[in-house]
Amino acid sequence: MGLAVNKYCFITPEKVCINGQKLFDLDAREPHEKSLVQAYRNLEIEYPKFFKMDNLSKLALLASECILKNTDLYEIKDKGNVAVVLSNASSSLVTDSNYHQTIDEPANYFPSPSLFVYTLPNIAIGEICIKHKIFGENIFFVSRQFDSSVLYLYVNELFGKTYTDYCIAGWVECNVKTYEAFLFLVEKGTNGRAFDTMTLDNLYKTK
Amino acid sequence: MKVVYNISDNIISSLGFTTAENMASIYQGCSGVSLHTNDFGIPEPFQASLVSHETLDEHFNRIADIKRYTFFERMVILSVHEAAFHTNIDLSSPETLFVISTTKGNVYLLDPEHSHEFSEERVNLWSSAKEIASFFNNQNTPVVVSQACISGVSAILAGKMFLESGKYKNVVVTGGDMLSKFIVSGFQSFKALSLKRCRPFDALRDGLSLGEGAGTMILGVGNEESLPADAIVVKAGATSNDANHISGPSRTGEGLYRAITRTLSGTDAADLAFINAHGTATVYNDEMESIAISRAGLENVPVTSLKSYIGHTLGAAGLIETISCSHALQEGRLINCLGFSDLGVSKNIKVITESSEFKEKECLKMVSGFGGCNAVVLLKRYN
Repeated sequence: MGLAVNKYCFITPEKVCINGQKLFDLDAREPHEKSLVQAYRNLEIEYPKFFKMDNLSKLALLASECILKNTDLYEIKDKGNVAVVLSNASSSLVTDSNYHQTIDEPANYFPSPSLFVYTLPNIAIGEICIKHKIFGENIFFVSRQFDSSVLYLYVNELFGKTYTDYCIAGWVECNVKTYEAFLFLVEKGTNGRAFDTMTLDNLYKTK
Repeated sequence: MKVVYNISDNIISSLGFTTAENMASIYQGCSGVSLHTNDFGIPEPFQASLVSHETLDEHFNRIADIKRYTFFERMVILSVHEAAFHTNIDLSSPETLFVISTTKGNVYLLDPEHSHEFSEERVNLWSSAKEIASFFNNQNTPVVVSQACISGVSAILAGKMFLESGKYKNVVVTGGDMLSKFIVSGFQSFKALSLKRCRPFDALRDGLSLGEGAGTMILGVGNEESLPADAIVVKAGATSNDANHISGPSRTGEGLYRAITRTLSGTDAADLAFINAHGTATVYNDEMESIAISRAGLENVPVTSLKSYIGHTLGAAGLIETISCSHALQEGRLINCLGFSDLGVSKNIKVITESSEFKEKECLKMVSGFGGCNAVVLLKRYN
């Protein structure tokens, strides 16, 4: 059984690209919150829940929209055979720090539940699954850099061993300095680039 | 047929520093959950199962300098060390991979009171994982799984896949979480904590008890015919998202139900000795689990939870509890659901009130967590 990647996207504070084509520029001088909203508007998404998410979930949601829109999958109501495999370096550290500020000083102690829930990186997977009704396998890996070999090994096994026909996989990194999403859609067949570490590394280099 | 099996394991919790100590305490009905006031600078009291720093450091001092590692890392390193101690597995081999499960790792280093203790980088999960793998001279980049309360089971299932890929000979699935102001205050802000020791599935349950600890399962791959006697095989497993809500469990148990049915495909429910549920004792979690169990047609399978013994150990929970299941299967003895007396969920599940013996050879471990995630693993005892 062959596996292929025929859709991938990048989102950075500078731009949004799908399959190597730039969709639009973003204003990198803006704070992350603002440029992510700019991307949301430009992608013409109608999803008010977006505005309550932290930046990591916003980024992941936007990237999932780029990957799924205009595919046959997009309209399927129950995506039981779609897996989501995400990774990043900073986990949820930006939100962790924001949450910590609500408990730092005894005089100003007011832990926020709406922040606390986003102090887990896999919430980004949850937000993608809720938006697109995805019920497949899911996992979140943390690695210092984009790690094509772990993603390849794991996703390849998912197709062989589980109820997986499609997998949204990749990298969604959000830290105080910058953000970067690189997601790709893996599916059965030979339509597209062969799914292997070389393809992933080559695509990642084009960011 | 090649199967993935548990070669050796360890549990570190308030109940002890070896799997045997933990299992003995559990079978005796001992709980490590107790009331804590003024701990971690938290204004309100809370119930939790804490690992003794003094005892841990007494053990740790024999293998390394305690000052070089955070409490989280010391628990995990000691756990791996203990698990590997009686085996001949080469932890430094390129054919050995570390898979590390944690929700928050060293997050306590964000606290201005502690941030000076280690380098700034150390708060990152990958950095902490590198320290752990390097301690054992393992050169492979450790794989970190961080997926809320299902991290431990997810890590076991990932470990199984990495072994099945043929690239590795052994996978050390380890992980843990330590409690801190960060974690306790967050659960309190959610009003998720009970002021009494938690009571899984009981009518009077009103929240969870937190816990800390570490667990390690050293997995290997071998031929079914040549497994050691009583080997525990990681037979199957699945994860699934509720696709419903990020902080509340699904009302229909959708993700958990799907994970159970995918895991059990090809298995006869009559072979199941018990289900070790997530059983956090929050009103919604236990109710959701009862619905998923019922929908999967497993209402007659005995159900237990370990949360009233060792609290909810977060990223360690899936590991510690799966290891307990593995030993319960070998003992052939059910674990009583401590603190349970009257059924408080809508489905008529069989919560274990007596630690009787059984002959079946398989069991299910289930976990669910924030983000709507669910994971299930099926273990089988081979003779």
